[in-house]
Amino acid sequence: MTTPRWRGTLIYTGTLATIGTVAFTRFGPLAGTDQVAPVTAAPVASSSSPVSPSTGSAASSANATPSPSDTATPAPGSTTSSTVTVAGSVSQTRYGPVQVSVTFTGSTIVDVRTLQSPSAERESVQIAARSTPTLAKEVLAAQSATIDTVSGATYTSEGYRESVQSAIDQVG
Amino acid sequence: MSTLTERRTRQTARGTVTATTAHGRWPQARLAVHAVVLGGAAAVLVFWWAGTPASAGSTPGGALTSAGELAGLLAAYLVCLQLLLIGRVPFFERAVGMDRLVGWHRSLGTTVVLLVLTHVGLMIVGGGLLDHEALWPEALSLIARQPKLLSAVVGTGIFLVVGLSSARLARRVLSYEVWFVIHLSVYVAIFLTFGHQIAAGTHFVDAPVARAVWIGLYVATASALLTWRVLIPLVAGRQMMLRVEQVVPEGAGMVSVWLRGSGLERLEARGGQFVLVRFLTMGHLWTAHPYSLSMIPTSDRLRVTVAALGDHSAATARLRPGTRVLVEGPFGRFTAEQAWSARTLLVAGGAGIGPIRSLAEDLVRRGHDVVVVHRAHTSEGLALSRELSGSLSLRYVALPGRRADLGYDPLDPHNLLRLVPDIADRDVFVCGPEGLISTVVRSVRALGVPRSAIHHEELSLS
Repeated sequence: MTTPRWRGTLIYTGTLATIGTVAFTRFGPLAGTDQVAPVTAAPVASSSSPVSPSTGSAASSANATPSPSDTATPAPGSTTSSTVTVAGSVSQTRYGPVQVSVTFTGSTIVDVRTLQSPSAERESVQIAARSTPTLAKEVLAAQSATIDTVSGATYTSEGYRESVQSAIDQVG
Repeated sequence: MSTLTERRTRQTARGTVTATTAHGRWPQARLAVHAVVLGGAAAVLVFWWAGTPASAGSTPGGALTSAGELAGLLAAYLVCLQLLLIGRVPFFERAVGMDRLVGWHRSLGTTVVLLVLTHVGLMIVGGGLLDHEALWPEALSLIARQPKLLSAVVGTGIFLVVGLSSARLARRVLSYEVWFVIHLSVYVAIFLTFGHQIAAGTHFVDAPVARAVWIGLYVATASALLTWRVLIPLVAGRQMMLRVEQVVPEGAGMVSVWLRGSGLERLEARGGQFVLVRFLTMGHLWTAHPYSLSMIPTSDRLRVTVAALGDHSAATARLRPGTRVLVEGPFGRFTAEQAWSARTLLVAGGAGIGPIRSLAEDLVRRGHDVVVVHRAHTSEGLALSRELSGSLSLRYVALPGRRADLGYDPLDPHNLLRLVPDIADRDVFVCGPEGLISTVVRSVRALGVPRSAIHHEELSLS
C-alpha cells in the first residue's frame, strides 16, 4: 500500500482549521469588547494643584492644539509651578491595554502613573507590576518617552512608551 | 473497527483457522495509537489555551501572533510524534506495522513543513501589525530581538531542505544514500529550533512547569530513539555477532546473503518479515537497508535475498565473507498470522519471492494449504524456484514470460481462476513491484476475494 498522496496536506488543512477555530473561540468574545476598551478617554485629573480641565482628551477635543501656554494664561501667578496631569492614549498590546497619566509641572515630568495595564491574566499582572515602576523611573529620568524596554515585558514597555508619548504630545 | 467486524463475518461464513484472540488485538491497539496521537494534540491545544490570555487577541496582530504560536507548538509536537513513529518503538510496531508507520511519518512530514511555514508567516505578519512595521524589517527585528531565533532560522532552513528532498519528485532523482544523509540532518534542525521554543516562546518564558513538561517531551523522545534505534540494536548485535557467511547469486541480478551468528531464535522472526541490515564495512556503514528474510532464521543462520536495484544493493553482491553485520528487527506484518483461511495463495514477482518464500515456509509449518504463483520476465528470473518446486507440501506455479511475448497477462482473472479454481476461498498474499500488486489485487477482487483477505506490504523505508 502506498502512502495516500494528499494525506499530509489534508492533515495540515485540518490542523489549520482547528487552529482557526480554537483561536476564534479564544478571541471571539473580545471582538465585541474591543472598542469598549479605551474607557478612559477623558483626562484624568488626579493632582491637587490647579488643574486645567481643557487639556487632554486626545480623541474628542476640537481644539486639537492645547498648549501649556494656553492653559497657563488663565491661571496667572503660577507660570512655573502650574501642575497638570494628562492621560495618555490607550495603547493596545497583545496582552491588553496600557494607559498612563503623566503629571507635568511646567514642562517637567514629575510623575507617571499607570491607569491601565494588562490584567486579564495572573502572569500579565505580574509582568506589569514588575515593569511599570521601572518604566516610570525611566521616563522621569529621561524626561521623555525615549526609554529602554524592560526585559521580559517587551509588549508592556512598547505600550507604555506610546501612551507616555501621547501625553507629552498633548501638552506640547 | 469495520475491518474487525468484516473479518468476523468472513470467519463464520467460511471454515477458517487460526486464533481469533491474536487478531482481535490489532484494531484495539490501533485505536490506542489514535488515542495517544490525538490526545497529545488536544493536550497541546489546552496548553496553548491556558497560556494565552483572551486579551492577546484584542488586536489583529496579537491574534495572528497567538495563532502562529499555536501552529508552532503543534509543529513541534508533531515532530516528536514523527520521530517516535519511525523510532522502532515496539508499541507502535506491533499495533500499526512499519509500512504504515513509514507512510504516516511521510504524511506528517508534509504537515510539519507546512505548519512550520505557517508559524513563521504568522509570527512575522502578526508581529508586523503589532509593531507597525513592514514584513521584512519586522522579520529582521524579530531575529535581533528574540533569543535563539537565528539558530531557529537555520534549523527551519534545514527542515525545508529535508522536506523537499523527501518529496516524491525529488525521491525519483535522489539515491537512497543521498536522501538518507540529508534526512539525518533533521536531528540538527530539531536541536537548532528547540532553543527558541523554550527561550522565546511566550508560553514557556515565565512558566517553569510548562517548560519542564515540554523539555520532558523532547527528552522522552530522544531516550526512546536512543533505546530502540541505538542501544538495543547494538546490544543485540554484540550478542548475535552476525557475519556474512556467503553471498550466493540467485539469477536475474538477485543475490542471497547468508549471515551466521548465534542466538538468532531470540529475534522471533516470522516468514514474510524484513530486517534492517547494516554491513559494517566501507560504503555500507552509514545506511541500514530493509531486506526481506527469504527463509525463517535458524538459531545460527539468517538469509536475506536482495535484488540489485540501488547502488547499495548492487554493492551487496561484492560483500566479503566475514564482514560484521548489524541487524535490526524483524519488522513487518506480512506474516502467516494475517491468514484467516486454511487455504492460501501467494503471488510473487521479481524480488518479492524472498518474503514469499519464507512466508510459504511458515504457512506450511502451520498446516495451511499453500499455492505459490511466481511471475518473472524470464525463467532465469525465477529466483529460489528450486527451493519451492521441490516441496511436496505446497503447489508451485511458475509463470515466466513477458506479457508482450505471451500475448496475455497470466495474472488476469481468467488465468488466475484456471490456475487456482478455489481462489475465492483463499487468503491472498502479494509481494512484488507496485504494478504487479495492483494487477493481482484487481484480479482477485474481481474473483470474489474480500478486501480483508488480500495482504500486501510496501517494502520501503523512504
